[in-house]
Amino acid sequence: MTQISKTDNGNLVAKLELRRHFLRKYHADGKASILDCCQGGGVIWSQLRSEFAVARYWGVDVKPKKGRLGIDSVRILEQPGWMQNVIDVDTYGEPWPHWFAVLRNLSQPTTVFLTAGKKNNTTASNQVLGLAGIRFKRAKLPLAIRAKLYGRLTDFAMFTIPPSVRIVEAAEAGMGRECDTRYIGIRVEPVGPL
Amino acid sequence: MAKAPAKPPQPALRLEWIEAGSLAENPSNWRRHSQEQLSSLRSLIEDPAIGWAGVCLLNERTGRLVDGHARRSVVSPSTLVPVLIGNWSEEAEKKILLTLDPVAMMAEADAEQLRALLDDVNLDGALQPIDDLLESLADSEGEASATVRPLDIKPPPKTTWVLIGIPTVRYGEIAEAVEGIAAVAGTIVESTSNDADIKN
Repeated sequence: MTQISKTDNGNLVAKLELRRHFLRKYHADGKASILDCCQGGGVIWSQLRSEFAVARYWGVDVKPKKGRLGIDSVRILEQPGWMQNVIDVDTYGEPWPHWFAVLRNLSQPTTVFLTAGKKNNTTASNQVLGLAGIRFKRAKLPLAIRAKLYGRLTDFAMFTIPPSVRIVEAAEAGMGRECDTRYIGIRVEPVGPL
Repeated sequence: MAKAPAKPPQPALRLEWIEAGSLAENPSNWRRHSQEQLSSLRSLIEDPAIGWAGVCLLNERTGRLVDGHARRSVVSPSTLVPVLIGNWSEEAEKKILLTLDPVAMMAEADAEQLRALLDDVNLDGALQPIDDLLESLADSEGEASATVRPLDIKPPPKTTWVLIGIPTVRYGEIAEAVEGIAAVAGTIVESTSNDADIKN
């Protein structure tokens, strides 16, 4: 059997279109510096880099690969001082640890791409549950209800931001059919003097 | 006079069940298998409704596997696996090894048929990577287009958690959850009773 390359690229068309929207609007000057947090096979950004001029691209992934160290990108974002202005979190898991780290250490206007929720979305971290005011340790809920409940957490996680940050624009890409995974782009900037 | 049955084309093939551990890997095998691929394969083989839906291919002349290295690796060495056995020269073996998968990969997708099948079959758990791959294929082969729509930048109010369909008989099991939700200021918690099954 032939190897199936890792594909977190279901709905690739939507992911690409979302990124094109923000790149055209905020990074047409060719100064985009990208941190691709969950590079995988690198399909998305190899396509986008053929369409847009970018200043720098750094792809990392928690899984090592030939020519690439395995790096947990959350740890990069948790350290103040990263200089990228495009953060791409196209992950299988929750993007929120990345998102919260970006918000904490934001130093310049930045575009963030988040892939949130999967099919049968029935898990959420305590961190995200807490944002929505849900503090129980263990919920025994019917799957359908739990999926809906946790689906709503995306809004809490996305838009509960510290006062030091302002959301300039948020947009979502869709394929015109039902999909439990959301593809979200958010442009954020620090509030106050840089 | 009855016609004599036609002789099968050469080389002859036969199917046998052989212990996985006794199948020798082919040193020229160029295919590498990711953990995700192996997990998906294992999941399908272990699915009681599916099991073995494909066979390994062995060249008895060299004693080497030509196809099925991944299938061999996801079961214990003592597991009997279905093996199609043929007899080829070393040169022919290499040609088969090189072309078997690429020939299959040359097939094109009918996006409409693929989409219909995808909507019909639930691929989750270990099969999620296959689902993603096929979704991507259906989109790229079809007339897929995406729209980007603005999002309203406001956190949703914490007053909208509504639980519906909680069976009264099992209400005690979710009491803690309901209390937790109800504790949020302004939250409205509603519950109705029915006999819906709870799967956790």
